[in-house]
Amino acid sequence: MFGILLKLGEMGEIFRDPALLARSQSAISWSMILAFSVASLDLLIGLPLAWLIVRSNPTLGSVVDTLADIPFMIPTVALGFSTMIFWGPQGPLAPVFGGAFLTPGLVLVVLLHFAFSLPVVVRVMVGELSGYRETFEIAAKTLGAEPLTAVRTVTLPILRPALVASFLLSFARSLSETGATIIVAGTFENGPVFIKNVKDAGLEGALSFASFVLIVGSIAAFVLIRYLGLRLRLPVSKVWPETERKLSGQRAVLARDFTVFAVFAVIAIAPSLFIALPSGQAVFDGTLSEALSGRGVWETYWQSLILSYVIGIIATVVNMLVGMPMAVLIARKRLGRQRTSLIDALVDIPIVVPSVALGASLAFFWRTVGALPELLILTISHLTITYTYFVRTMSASIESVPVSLEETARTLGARPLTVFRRIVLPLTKYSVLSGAILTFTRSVDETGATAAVTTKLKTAPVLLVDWIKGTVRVSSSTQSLGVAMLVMVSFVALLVLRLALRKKR
Amino acid sequence: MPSVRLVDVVKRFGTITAINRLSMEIPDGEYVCILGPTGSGKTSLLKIVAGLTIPDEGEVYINDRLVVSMPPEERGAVYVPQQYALFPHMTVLENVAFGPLSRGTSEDEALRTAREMLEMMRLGHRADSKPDELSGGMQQRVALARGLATKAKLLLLDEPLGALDARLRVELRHKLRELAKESGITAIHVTHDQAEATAIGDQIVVLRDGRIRQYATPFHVYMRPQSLFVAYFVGGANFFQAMVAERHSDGSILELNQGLLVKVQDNTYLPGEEVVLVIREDRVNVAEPGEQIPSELYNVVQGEVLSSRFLGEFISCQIRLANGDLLTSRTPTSKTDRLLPAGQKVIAHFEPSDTTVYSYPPIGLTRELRVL
Repeated sequence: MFGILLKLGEMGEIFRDPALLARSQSAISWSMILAFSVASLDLLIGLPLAWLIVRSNPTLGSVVDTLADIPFMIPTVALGFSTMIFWGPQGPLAPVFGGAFLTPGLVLVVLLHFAFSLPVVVRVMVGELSGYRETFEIAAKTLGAEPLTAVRTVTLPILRPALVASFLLSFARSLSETGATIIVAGTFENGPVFIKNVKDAGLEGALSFASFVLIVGSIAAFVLIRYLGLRLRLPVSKVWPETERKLSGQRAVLARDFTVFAVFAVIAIAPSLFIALPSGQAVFDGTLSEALSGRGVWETYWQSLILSYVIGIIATVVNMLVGMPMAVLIARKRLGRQRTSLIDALVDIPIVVPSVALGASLAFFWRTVGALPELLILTISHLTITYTYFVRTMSASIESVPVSLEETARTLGARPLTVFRRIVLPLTKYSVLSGAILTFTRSVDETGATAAVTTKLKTAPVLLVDWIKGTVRVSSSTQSLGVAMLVMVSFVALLVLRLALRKKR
Repeated sequence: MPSVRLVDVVKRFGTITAINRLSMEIPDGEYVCILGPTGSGKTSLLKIVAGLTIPDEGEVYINDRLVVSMPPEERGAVYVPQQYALFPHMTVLENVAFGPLSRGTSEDEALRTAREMLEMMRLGHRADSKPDELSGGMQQRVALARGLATKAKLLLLDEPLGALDARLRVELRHKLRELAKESGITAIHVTHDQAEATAIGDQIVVLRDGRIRQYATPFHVYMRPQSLFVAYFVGGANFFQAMVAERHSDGSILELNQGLLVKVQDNTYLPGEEVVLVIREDRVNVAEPGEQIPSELYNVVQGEVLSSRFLGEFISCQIRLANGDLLTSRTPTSKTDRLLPAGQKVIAHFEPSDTTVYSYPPIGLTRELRVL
């Protein structure tokens, strides 16, 4: 954050260039509009989908549940590429419409953002709904409420904090995403794309101005949504028995489930999986052997991939060490209620703030502190960006361990460290694993901040953006294979996670 | 062998004072029950002794050693919380061995102690089970075995029977006491159930708003409650607002609602003073009209039955007295098996020696007796 303030002086530059200023303002406004619409859309589709997963027949539920994670497992850059070719001239829809159904631009950006942020809403709401005690709803129904009325006036208001939280998460994802957005944006610019573009053009003043406004704006939007979301009055006292009965009917429910599933399949799942097709071709046209030989562009590809994983591993290990005490601090409110809730809010900043703006800020800050090597700055920025994930996962998990277990263990004669090692850690080990994998994949996935920080070094997603945007000229099957290999690793990591978590149940 | 002493202990949580300048002493080997309503500070008191809560003021001594700044693991006071806090990821045996292991005992030794304790609790066959596979009663025994395995001589039990079903609660009362006495343990047992406290404790501490209201044997707490609140909380009593009419050397005459006069043994209050008259329900006798009543009886009042209920060992009868006040009686089923019908005219009578008198509380009777 301080990095931006250091550049406050240079920000003046942009005010001498009205065209640039207008461009940046429009980009940032679009960012907000986009994030808001995408998050609303996510809730509209994600909530009924979560409902389908939790309340319908278990087999269907678990299939949809697994499918819903797919866009989440794929690095966003890969998702962007996949989405682009799915809707593009080589896509399955092209023959039907005689050419590309959609070309890069605003609409494609919306579809992309919808696809990668939907899993967040589904995940949060599935968790909430399966923990929700249905007795409230049953009580409402025995008191004479139609199913829809019961849900609208009882269940949803009770789940309101979760609804707001999932809205905010998808809002943040949309606001922050850079790599994939660049791929499908065409001439459209939102905040992160604008920042990337002015950085490439070497306009530091505009860069710091846009970053500053984006950071402040996103924090403000966050606070505002959280405040209004939890306080806005809902029309829970009004009931329309006739209409609501019709809407609760079997036919209406079936129509709803079908629509939701269709939207989910066509907009989120199909484009995510489409990458398999062109990359499959790449295996047979000789690109694979070329890749494995590591010649030409592939040399830099492998270097980038290794760089990505090394940074990912460092970020994960360091964040585990640094994040664990913080997680304990938050979960156990060690600093008192008020100070803890302040720290709690601060911990969220790295995910609230768009990563490209954060990256710019971090780069300014660390360069001012000293002439640090680029690799170090890159690693530090990944640490910052992924910090929240481990702390959040762990603090939630530690909070679920009853304090009385720790207290009893102490009175039985165990030292605080023994209590942590023998009681808390074994009880939260799955969260340690999932926190670590989340941190790792998030780091490998990160494009915006990395692009903002580095000048020479390129991690795999950044390199792929260059390939796809044509900054570096490569064949289309090279693009596909490069993306597919990045996807593979994320898939494996998340598969391990799912298997581990399944064992728990 | 531990004794526990608290001196002027104060604990505040924000604006709430959980423990309000509390002092008490528990002699070695005693089984003490802390009795009080929800929010009276029972659990806070226990946690202060355990070292899990640090008091804002005052001193805590275990075995005459000041322990305020001593961490819980060094106090030798085992805390058993309401839901037992058995470690869910460990087997029963591992749970019981946790204490000795944490205190640096070798693994063999710790496991041997743990097995012994489980045998003693007749749980040897469940050593390899996980806690959630056991019934509530078994879990409670594991929690006790785990506490005893540490060789600690001070046991802090927070509602140890609270999570069990009604029958088991009653059965386990004397087992718990027996176990503590056999092992030579000092036990502090928190409960909100006066029958449980009466059945188990050598002494009962009645707590309210973080202060001790009475610290005495179960007999004294029941028969000679020191305050209106204790009388009310222990249960089974009638309360009447009254004024002292006359004071004699052998007692006083109180004037109740509508001028009804009652003779009591107490003569500490002056004529004109506002008082509360307490009559235990089991000391009220009920006679039907025509039944012979000895003529020297005091306190004979006409009334009408509102309802009567069969409660197993007792029959409880609610009577509206001639002056409009309500009176409840409790008659053992061994003395009567008749449920009087509503509307039945009756005569209620009681001895002056079976009454207690307290000065009228300045905050009013209802507020004084409020338990939440």
